[in-house]
Amino acid sequence: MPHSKNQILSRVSLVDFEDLRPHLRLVELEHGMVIARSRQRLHQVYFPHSGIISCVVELENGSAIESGMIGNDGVFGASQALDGKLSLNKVMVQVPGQGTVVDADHLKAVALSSPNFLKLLITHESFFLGQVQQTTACNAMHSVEQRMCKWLVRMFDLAGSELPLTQEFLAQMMGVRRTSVTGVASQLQKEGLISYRRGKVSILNMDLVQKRACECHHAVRDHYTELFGGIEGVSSPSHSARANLD
Amino acid sequence: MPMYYFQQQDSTGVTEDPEGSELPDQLAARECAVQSARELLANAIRFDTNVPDKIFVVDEDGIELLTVFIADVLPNSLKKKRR
Repeated sequence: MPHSKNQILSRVSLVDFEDLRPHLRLVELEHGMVIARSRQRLHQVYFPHSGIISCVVELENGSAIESGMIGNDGVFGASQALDGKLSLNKVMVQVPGQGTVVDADHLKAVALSSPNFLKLLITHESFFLGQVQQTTACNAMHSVEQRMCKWLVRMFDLAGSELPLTQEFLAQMMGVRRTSVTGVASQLQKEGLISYRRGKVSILNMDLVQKRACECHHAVRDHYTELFGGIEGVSSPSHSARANLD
Repeated sequence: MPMYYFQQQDSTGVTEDPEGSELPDQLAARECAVQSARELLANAIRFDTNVPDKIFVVDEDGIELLTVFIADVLPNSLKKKRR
C-alpha cells in the first residue's frame, strides 16, 4: 500500500486509517515546489514517501536558512491543520519524490475523533520541535564541515546516496556562502568521501562522512526512537529510513 | 546576467568553483568575494581550519577579473599589527 511508505501513516491504527483513506491522494513532490509560504494558510497535509521537504526561515536581507527537514519519517502541516492552518515559514520540496496528501479539514476531523491519532500527530510535532531545536544549536556551534556532513547523513537516510543538489542550494540551506561549501566539498572529494558533479552529490564513504559530522543527526534519530519506539526491522539509526525506502 | 566563478587559492593549489554565480556586474562580484573571504576567515579562526590565501574571480572564459586577498578583510587594527 503506497500510503504506508510514510512512517507516520504506517503507524495509524486500521480504524483511523479507514477514516482517512477516502481522503488520501498520491502526489508528486517536484523539486523546488513551494508547499507553504510564510504566514499563508495551509490547506493540505503532506506525508512524504520519498524525497525531502524543507522548512526555511527567510530573513529581510534576502538570506535564508533551513530550520527543519521532513522525509518519509514525518509529516508536514498536521499542527497547522489542527489549529488555524497558518504556516509561519516557507516550506518547499528540496529533493523530489512522492507523497500522500490529505485535506487539512479531513485530517482535523479524524484527529478530533481519535485520541490515538491525535497523540501520534502530537508526538511527531514534539519530535519536529526537537529537530528544530537541535538545528538551532548546531547552526550556532558547529563548523561548516560538521554541518555539511551531518546534512549529507540526514539526506542519505531520507533520499539515498545520490543527491540532486547544487552547492548553491546546499549553501542556502546551511545559511552560509557558496564558497564555504565549495571549500569543504572539495576537501571531502579529495579524501574520497563524496564526489561532486554539477548538480549532483554522491556519497562514496558513508562511514567517514558520519565521522566528520557533528552529533546532531544521531541526537535527532535518538529522539525519534525514544518518541516512536524505533523503526521496524532496522538496527542502525542512520540506515533506518533507507531500509524502508528500498 | 554574467557568470562569475570564485576560485580559491592556497599554497597547495586552486579549488575550482564548479558552479559559478550569476551577478549583475563586477562590483557585485567583488562584494560577493569580500563577503566570502570574511566568512572563510571567520570560520578558519573559530574552528582552526585551513583558509585560502585569496579568492580570484574569473569569467566564463576563465579570464581573471579581480582578486581579494583573505588578509585584506582583517580589521585594520590587526592588519597593522600583522607586520
